[in-house]
Amino acid sequence: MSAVAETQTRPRGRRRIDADQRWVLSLVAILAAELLFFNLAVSSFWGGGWGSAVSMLGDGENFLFTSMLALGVMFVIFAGDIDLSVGAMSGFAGVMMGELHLGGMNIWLAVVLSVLVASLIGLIQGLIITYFKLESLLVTLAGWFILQSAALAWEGSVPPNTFPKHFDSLLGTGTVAGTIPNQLVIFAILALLATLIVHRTRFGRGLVLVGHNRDAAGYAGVRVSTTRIRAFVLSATFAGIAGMCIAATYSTADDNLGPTLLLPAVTAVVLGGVDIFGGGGLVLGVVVSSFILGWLTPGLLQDGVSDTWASIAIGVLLLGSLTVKGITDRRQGVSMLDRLRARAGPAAPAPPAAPDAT
Amino acid sequence: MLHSIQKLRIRSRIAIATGAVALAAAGIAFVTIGTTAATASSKCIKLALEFKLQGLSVFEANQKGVNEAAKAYGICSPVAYGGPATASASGQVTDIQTDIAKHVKVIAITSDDPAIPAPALKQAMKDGIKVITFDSDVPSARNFFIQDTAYNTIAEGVINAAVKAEGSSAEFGIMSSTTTATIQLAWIKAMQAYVAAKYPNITWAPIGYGQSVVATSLTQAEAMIHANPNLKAILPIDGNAVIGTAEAVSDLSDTGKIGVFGIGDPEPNQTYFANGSLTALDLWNEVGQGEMIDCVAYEAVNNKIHAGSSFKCPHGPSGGLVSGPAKWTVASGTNATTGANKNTIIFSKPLEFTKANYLKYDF
Repeated sequence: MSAVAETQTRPRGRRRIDADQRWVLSLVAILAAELLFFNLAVSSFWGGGWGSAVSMLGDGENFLFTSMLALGVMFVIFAGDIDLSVGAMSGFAGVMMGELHLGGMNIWLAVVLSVLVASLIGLIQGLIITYFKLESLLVTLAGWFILQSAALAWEGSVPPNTFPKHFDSLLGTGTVAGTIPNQLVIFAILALLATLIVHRTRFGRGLVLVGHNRDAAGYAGVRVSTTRIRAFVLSATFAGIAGMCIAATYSTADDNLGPTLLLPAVTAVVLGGVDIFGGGGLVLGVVVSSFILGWLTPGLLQDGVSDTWASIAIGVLLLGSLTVKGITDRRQGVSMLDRLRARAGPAAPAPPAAPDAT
Repeated sequence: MLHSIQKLRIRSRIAIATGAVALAAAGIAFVTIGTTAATASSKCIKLALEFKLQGLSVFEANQKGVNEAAKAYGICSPVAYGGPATASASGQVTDIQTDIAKHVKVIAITSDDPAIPAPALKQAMKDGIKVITFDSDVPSARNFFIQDTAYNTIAEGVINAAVKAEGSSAEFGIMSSTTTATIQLAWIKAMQAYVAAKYPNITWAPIGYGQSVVATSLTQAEAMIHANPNLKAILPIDGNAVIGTAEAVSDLSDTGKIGVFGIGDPEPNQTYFANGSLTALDLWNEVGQGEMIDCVAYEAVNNKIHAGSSFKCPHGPSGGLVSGPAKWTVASGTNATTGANKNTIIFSKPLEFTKANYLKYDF
């Protein structure tokens, strides 16, 4: 991979970490600006008041499961791989849970079993990728097709729906003390877990090192294949948990509810500052970016913008912010901004304003 | 030039400062705006329209009808075209929650899925919003459902048109969408029952399934023509099946030999009406259906209708849509023949499009 070769010459250590932290700060600023804008422009953005089902917090029901998928696929992207099966995995796990429950199984047992099966499928995908030395893109693409079709075949003409109220409430639309959505609590736990795993464990350090330079990681004593397989298991497990939340939110398990969330999830990871070729980024960035993207659509819709234009806005935000990041990031020791300055000479005009530019 | 580490520090500080200021401002503005929004109200009825997806001519015709009659029924106009960019039930849920936040009075929705939007629509009803479904129902979470036509009458319309042209002892073949599509299954059942009762000499070729894709419908229709040499008529009952079937008949130069009689809208099929490969289509008046949404919204908000009651729509849709005087009834129970269940309003008898009138309709 050329990206790995390129990163070998990139200076590492303190400076790179600074760049990651700076990006997270920029994201926080973008999020604050977004909320401020919606607050001023859209009076209904706060809906029925703090904590109601249609308030800004309540809108979380529409995107927090996408954020959970993003956290999962993030592990794989950290390691320099990709997992395209996460959306279909969440749909499959949901359908499995629904069918097991309809077949008479206790719903919580069905939930645990379905998440475990999702983890197992992640393990199998990871084993196939590392043992046969196949591209993760291709293996997980095949996984996507197989899982979605299996879910479609299993659910039949009437997908399982109308689950017990306590299930819908706990994993779906319920709140803690009438204010904080349950899904926000679940997401917070998963986000904390992901932060600890990536930034505080030996496995996490190995994960980033494998993504940064697989060969060097191997020479440094990191078990490369094991690390990559674990990332796929984590990705599938998070997808399984997201699948349970999706099923509870809509009180329906359907094969096509999950796959449409794959690209928004990957978008959140990339906007969050995780290097798509692996080896760099912060979990916190993914958390913040998933909120930026999650609130953008409902906010714009309430502002009277149509769904089509909301999608265009997301594209523009992604392109714009990644361009700014590309300019300010120091690649190969010299940032693109510095190179532009050098080319334009000392009398160069000020560069275009970036969220974090001085 | 500053040293790069110093510069980074300054940038970080500025970013933190900007973020903090923005957050503080957001908090202040939240308090002020949040309180003013709650008291704002208006006299007209706020109606939110939610379609399956953006940019389909039948839905645009619905929206046109809604806007034509909105003022007369006291509905805030213009009513915007709502709906996700691509057909997605979860996208509709986001829109429904947006409508709840905007405190609309009525949500009128044609749903992408009979179950997925149910929790959000139930939430809307709990908040006092009237939910009207039309075209595609969410049976567990609505106040009223405007059903396009009765299953039996549209089935009779298509069969009668085909029999009139091809005679009552011929072979017909149905081209449907998928094996699980609810409304197509109901129409097939109604057509088969009507033929069995009225035209016992008509035989059926095996049903083709075009998967609601033009190319697949075309292949399936060609296969049906080749496999059944005595076939006299194909009855496509899905929008894309109509196009695929008419295209297959013109491609194989079977125009005149095999008639096409279906359920669909005229505008996408103008070519086939013009070249004679398409004989007749049955649908309902989509603009009139939009006016019907206004009428039902007005009646529902004023609590004038309930299961079993009848009502009139003085400001449209105009007469000729129902047999007898223009008066509609809210069904009080399930009726297997028409397909209605409790709180269903059957909008119209079918409207037939032929070579003589297809240019008059823009949907």
